[in-house]
Amino acid sequence: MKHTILICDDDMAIVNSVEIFLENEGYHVLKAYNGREALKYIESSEIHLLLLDIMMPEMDGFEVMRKMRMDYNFPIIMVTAKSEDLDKIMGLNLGADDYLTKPYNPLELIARVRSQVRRYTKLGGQSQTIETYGNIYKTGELILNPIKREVTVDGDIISLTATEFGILELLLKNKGRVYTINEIYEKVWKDHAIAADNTIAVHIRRIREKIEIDPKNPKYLKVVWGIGYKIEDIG
Amino acid sequence: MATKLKTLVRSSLTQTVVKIILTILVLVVSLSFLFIGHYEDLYYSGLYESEDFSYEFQRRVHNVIEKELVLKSTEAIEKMAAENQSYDYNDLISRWYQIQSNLLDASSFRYYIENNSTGEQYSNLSALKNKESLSDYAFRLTIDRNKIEATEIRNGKIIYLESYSRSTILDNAKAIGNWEGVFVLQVPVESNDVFKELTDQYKAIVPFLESRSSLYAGIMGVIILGIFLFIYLVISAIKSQNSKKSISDHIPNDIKSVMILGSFPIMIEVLEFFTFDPFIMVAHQREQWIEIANIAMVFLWVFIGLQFTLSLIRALSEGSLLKNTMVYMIFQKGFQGVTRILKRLSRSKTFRRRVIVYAFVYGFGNYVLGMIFALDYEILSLFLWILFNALCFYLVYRNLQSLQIIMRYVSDGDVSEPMESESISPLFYNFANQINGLQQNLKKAIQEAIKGERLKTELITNVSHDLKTPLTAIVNYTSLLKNKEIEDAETVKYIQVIDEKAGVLKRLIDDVLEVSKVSSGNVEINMEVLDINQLIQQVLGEFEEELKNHRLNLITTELTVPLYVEADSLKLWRVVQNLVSNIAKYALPDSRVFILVKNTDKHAVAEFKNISKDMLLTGNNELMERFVRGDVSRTQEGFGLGLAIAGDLMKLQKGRLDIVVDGDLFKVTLVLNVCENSQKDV
Repeated sequence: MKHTILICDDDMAIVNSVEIFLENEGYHVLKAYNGREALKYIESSEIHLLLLDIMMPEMDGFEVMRKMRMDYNFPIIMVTAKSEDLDKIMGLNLGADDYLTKPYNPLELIARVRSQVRRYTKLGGQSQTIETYGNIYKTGELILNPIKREVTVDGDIISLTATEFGILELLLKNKGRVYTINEIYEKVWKDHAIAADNTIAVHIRRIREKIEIDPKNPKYLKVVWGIGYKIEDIG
Repeated sequence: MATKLKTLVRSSLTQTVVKIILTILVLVVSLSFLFIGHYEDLYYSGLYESEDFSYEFQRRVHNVIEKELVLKSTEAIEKMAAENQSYDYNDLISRWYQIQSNLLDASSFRYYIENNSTGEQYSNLSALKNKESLSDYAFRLTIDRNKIEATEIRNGKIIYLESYSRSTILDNAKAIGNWEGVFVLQVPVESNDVFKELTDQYKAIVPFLESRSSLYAGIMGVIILGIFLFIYLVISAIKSQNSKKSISDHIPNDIKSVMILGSFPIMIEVLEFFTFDPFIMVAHQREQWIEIANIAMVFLWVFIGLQFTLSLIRALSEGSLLKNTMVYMIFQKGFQGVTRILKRLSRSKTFRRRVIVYAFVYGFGNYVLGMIFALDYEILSLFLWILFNALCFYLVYRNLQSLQIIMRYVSDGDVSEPMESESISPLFYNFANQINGLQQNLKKAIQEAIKGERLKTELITNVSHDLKTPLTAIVNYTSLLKNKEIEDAETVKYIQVIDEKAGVLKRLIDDVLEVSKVSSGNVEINMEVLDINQLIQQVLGEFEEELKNHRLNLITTELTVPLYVEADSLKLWRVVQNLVSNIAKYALPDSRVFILVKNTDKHAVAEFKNISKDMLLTGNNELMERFVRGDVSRTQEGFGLGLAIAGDLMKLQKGRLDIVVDGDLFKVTLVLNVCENSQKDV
């Protein structure tokens, strides 16, 4: 089944290029050049994801979200040239599921679209339930099963080394809590921190590269600079 | 040798010694002249015709006549007073005792008197029966009806001393009665004898004054020497213009002059009272210390005067003679300042008019009060005068206070609020209002400047956002091109370049945005306590692979020990991340990189040192300036903006970023405040 993605941006060149990327990935693409057009498409066709630009003439992205969010629950990825935190927060509050700042890496765009569509069609919104085997630790779409020693993100199995699994288990078990490097060392290695090397920091980076779509801008495994590391508690 | 002499001549110690010597010379010369002036007359007249001697001698003559012919004895005085009412007993008796004591003080004074009316003879030498036996004394005074004859026997010759025949004291004595007598002087022996003192004094000074010519020659020599020393001092004073100033140079020149001239008469007075007697006469020797103190005082005065004179000469040669005077300073600072303020104030017409009116009222008031004073209402008018003037001074004081309020307001420069014009006196009311007008304009200007700065930041932000949309399209299409299977190798290379440059452009836009935000202070800073060592560890973890790829050997201090600092974690991360990424990009492969964190009391100091791959051309501070990169040829990546942002971010966190370029060594130092009570409360 082909999933339908609505692209809404006033810049035709961008819309066309994104269309090509997404069609290459096997999605069906609808194109809108302003908010009004986008709303028409939403009302007339079944849409699995909306890629929405914020700054548009006639009706901007925030307005579109406000109008449609009550009736539709398909994921929205907000695309904006503004990198200010305030815009991101406003978009997320209005019902966006994710955001991208221009100029984005096309590969990242595809990864995010895929992640959101999969969550929407397989796990979320449309009634799918998660299989559970005993105790699992979970935040957002990051799930760790300590018995099976298995980690999945958006349903994909991630292969981790024993150390990486240990660190992730510690952090996910206590999601939201910040662990310092020394604490992680003591808890995972069961030993005192000795060498002045960057073992933990390197491991964390590796884990992030495996579980995050954009490791530079992590969603789950966050660095609290100068204090430690934590897993964001998303739910 | 010559240089040694030169330094000796120039040394301040030598100068001080010369000054002291010169002072002594001045003292010697003036004392010599004083000595000569004092005793010259005595020397020329000889002992017996000297003023002191002849006075003392004639006085004794008169005393003796009065005693023997008039008073006779205390009983005779009693009788006389009882018989004749015109005599006062007390007067006579005190005169008697006075004469007795005078004669006691002159034990070498000898006389022989015959009363022609009674035929009685008086003498204080019982052996003497006639006046001829007194003829071989060195000094003899013979008085009879016709003549007064004083003779001195010097070197066997008889010399007549004329001055005694014109004496009023002797004339008075002769008028007492009909008598004749001879008066002589024995060689005095007793120490309380007035004539012994005079003789001793004479004997003491004669040798000095006999060799007068050599004394004068000596004085001349001393004067010439003194002049030479003075010239030396003057020259060295002029030459040492730039050297350290002495105390006397700090005293205003006019004060110095007044001090010298004003104290001159006092010193002359001191010298006039000065006598050499305590040093010559045994009887006066107890007073030596007083005279020595006098000399010391004069010495000090001459020394200070010399110091002042030299200082004045130096000032003259520097051309600061008039500048460095009290009068000039007062004129310069006080008067000029006042006139300037007054001039500025008097531009307002009402102010000038008012001042004229006030001055007139003041003058007229005093005139009226003066008239009242002249009309003999002294106490009343004095009281009114004091009251009136006190009132005027109070009003002037009040006005000056207003002026001070205005001045303080202006100098404080806080223009957010207008000045409270209630406390300003009416004279300056207009002035205060004008300043308030100025304040309004200034406030508006500042607000506009702030607005302009905000507009600039907004413009940069908007332009950056507008640049991002086309850049997105470029990135997207480049990516599409890359996915195409292109066989032409050249084309693939071109696409690669476009891709790279698009990346560069993206980061550049982000940096410009950040710079405009950071430099306009438009950034929120959340200061918290964090472990700088852990932060560095975390950043190093992120860059581990890159550092390894460039074969950089990392040497750090112990980073597992926490060092808590006050900083914004995200901002400090940006800074450290920038520095480490620079190291990864620009450090010479296979070299060592040092990251050293130190805790110096109140500051955490983190040093990042590496050897640059390329030559660093720019100076230290230029590196931080926007858009300037360490080496001109660095074209791969990096935009120089990074260091500028890092510097600004450190400042926002109350820290500092210093850059040192030493040859190929590139060193960045971060300084942050250490958290005082560094508890591990994570």
